[in-house]
Amino acid sequence: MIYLDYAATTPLDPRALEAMLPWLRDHYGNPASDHALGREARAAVEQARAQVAALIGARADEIVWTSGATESNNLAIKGALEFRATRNAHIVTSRIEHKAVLDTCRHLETQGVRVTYLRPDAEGRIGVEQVLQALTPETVLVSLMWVNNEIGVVNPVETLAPLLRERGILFHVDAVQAAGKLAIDLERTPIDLLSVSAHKLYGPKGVGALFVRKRPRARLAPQLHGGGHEQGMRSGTLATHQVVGMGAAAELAGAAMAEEAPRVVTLRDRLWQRLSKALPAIHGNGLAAERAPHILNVSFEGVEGESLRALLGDLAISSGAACSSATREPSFVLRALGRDDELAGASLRFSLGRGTTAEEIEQAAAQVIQVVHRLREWSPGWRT
Amino acid sequence: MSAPNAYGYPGPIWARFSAPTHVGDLDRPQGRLLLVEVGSPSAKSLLRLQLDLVDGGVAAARFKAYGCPTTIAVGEWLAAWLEHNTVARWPDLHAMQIREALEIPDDRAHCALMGEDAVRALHQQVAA
Amino acid sequence: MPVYLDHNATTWVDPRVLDAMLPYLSGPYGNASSLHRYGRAARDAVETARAQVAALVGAQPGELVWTSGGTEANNLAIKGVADAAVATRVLYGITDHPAVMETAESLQARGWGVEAVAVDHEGVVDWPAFEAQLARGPVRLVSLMRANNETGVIQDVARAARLAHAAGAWLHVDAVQAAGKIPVDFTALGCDLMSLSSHKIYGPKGIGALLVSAEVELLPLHHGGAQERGLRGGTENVAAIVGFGVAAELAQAELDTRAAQALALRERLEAGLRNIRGIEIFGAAAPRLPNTLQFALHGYDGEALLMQLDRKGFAVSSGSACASGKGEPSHVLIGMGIPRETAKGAVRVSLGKDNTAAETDQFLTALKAIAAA
Ligand SMILES: Cc1ncc(COP(=O)(O)O)c(C=O)c1O
Ligand SMILES: Cc1ncc(COP(=O)(O)O)c(C=O)c1O
Repeated sequence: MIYLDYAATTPLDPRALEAMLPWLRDHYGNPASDHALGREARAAVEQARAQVAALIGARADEIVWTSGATESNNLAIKGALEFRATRNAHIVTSRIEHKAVLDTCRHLETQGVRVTYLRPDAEGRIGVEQVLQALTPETVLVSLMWVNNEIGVVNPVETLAPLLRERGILFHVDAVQAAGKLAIDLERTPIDLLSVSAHKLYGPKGVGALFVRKRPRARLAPQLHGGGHEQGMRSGTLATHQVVGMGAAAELAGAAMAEEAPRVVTLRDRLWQRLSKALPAIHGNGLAAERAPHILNVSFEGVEGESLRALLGDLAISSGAACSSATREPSFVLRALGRDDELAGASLRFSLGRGTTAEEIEQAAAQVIQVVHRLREWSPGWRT
Repeated sequence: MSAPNAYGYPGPIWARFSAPTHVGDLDRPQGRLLLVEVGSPSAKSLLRLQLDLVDGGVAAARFKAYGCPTTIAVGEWLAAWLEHNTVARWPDLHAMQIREALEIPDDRAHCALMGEDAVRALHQQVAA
Repeated sequence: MPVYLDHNATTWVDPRVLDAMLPYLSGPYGNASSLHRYGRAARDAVETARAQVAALVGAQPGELVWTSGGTEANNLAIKGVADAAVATRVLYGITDHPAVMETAESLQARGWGVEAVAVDHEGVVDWPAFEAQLARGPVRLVSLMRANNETGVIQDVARAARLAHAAGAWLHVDAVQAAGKIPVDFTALGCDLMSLSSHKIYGPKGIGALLVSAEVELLPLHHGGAQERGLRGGTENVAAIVGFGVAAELAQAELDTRAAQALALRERLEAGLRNIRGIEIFGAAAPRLPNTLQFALHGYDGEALLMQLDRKGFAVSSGSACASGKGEPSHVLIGMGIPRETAKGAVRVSLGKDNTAAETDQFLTALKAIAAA
């Protein structure tokens, strides 16, 4: 099995696991407890907070722990809207956001919030002007992903941030696919709220964080009540081992980034070269745009998506996002790029990571080439 | 290269889909060439069957298919079935038999129906 | 290692549970929602755990939704029901956990009537008052804990369910402290919703569950993704789920032994405490969890007492392990009509499956020494 689904989830780094284990063994105190066991757990939680903050150029007290980026996105958007409690509030987001953002916005629409869902351009990007033009006097929040999880395209969030700040509009960024892959410096980039997830950066599943800016203060109404943990923004017993794992993973990701990013880009580009040289009638999605290092998304004409994936059972890859592959919904991003439902279905997302080797890339390319050739040969409609 | 059945397709479907032996076109038929195409591009599936009919018997059957693994497996199964069954028995083939032979789950029942349609169309051609 | 007498705050992970989790922490298992092979193996493990946890409380696996813990389960139950309904009234037990109390109170801003259900001096629901409340107008949801985290007092939730249902309301039960300590049967008790948490029963922190019976209409709290039948988006925390499953199975198998051991130790401790002058045990006349004992030593400040005990190597607490209201007297005791001064001196001892008589005796000795000083 060749694992090329690092954008869906990453294996837990053994060093992060090592850091977690004591907290699953003898050091089991509740971080909210006042005795010695509680205090040591609390100290570990605070160290992890600083580690996550360092990865994104934030301050430790700007990090709120969550159960994952789905919760982070929910807390950011619902919390911001609920805190303002403005009538006729308006949100600007895009159609290529993760479901955690889209479903949250749709839920808010049922409560009277107006939402503009921007369409990406032909490379899958949301433009700065496009966002600015969508703003209205009622706009309270813009939510835009830094890196799209299906095709890897980078949105101009760094350019947008100061422009939205000038206009007094809160800016939430889903940085799940950007953290640990691109440099993020929130000290310089005036983003107000930013979501990250541990299991996309070699940390454990079930833990994430929301950056909530202190200066100027981004204010949120809590979405989980009870106990007042996390400065009242998110209640619930903290899972010490989980946050420690995320902290360790964040530190390791930060340290590895400078070397890892160019290595992965080289491998990714080699994969595209191999495929595009051997196979006619394939499309690299979003290739002309700026992209995160780790994602390559390709649409294959003349083959049916399910059969394509089935014959590639030796490759762990996604056809679209992991989230939408469970429900088999056609990808909005790919349709925006002009791929019809059928071609969108016959698309593969290769996402590379720390474990990916040059040899794996050669093997994966060879398998895909062979399977596409074969399915086309079997197809009554295919003419070479 | 044989890929693992990573998505858990039923054994009979997987065996035929992953290593079909009847794919192709009959370029030089010895007898009469029958050809049908069923399915629709909108349903994302297309099945073509070709038969070489010699003295009322099937000398060779070939298929081509575009679609999900079940569609391709149905093509392979039908080609083999047609090679072993006389024209007289064709009308007896029902979708249920295809489903049972290939262990086709409910949500893919339409693939078996497509197979039945193909054989019925072939039979009409022979009768015509 | 200190003598740990704070099991209602949290427990350690049973080594058998950790063993079951490790393959899912270090193995190549992917996202439980993706379709490739590793994803499917992870999904099977999640379903096994679902059956194990449901079995602990006599529920169907299909009724269970994973959450990040008891707090999220309580929030999902209360807000999920409220979001799916026209605003009427919500009732909650006055001694309920902050995760119930504060969540219910938050509904006021959405136009709901929110009322606390009173308890008597022993911490037991004041039934006539409860019935009168129900009769006063439409109620959508009643939330009542099965067992209190501070006093251990057990509520007759079957009775609450009958009354709530007769009034057209659903009953949510916070069983976070009860599950694994006393028998809890979701179906037999007539509950419509029930919250559970793993880290109170020797499972990992950061995972819990909400049981939702089929009739209940619920909207999700975490939108995004089709996980958990659309009731709870987010990538599944597979290792923790697997751990919770095994912890639930062990809790069920060992429930009688654990309860009997804890009760014997608690009675021994209680007998010893009664010899100390000025001791008051809360909820003593009510049915209580076998492992829980909350008391105050008159004339002693609780915080100071806890600090001294901590220095001597005993991990106990005043009440709930919460970030809010530090220094404030427990809302549980105030709700029971205990004077503030007494309530401020509260100490909670909560025993675990591995505590010994030697440990509780040491604790008694230490406490007597402090009291005598
Ligand atoms: C862009 C993006 N946002 C949010 C999420 C959700 O994160 P989590 O799995 O931590 O809930 C994902 C991953 O699935 C993602 O790719
Ligand atoms: C009765 C009760 N309900 C809910 C909770 C919250 O559970 P968790 O710590 O899993 O968020 C607790 C524990 O703190 C509790 O004792």
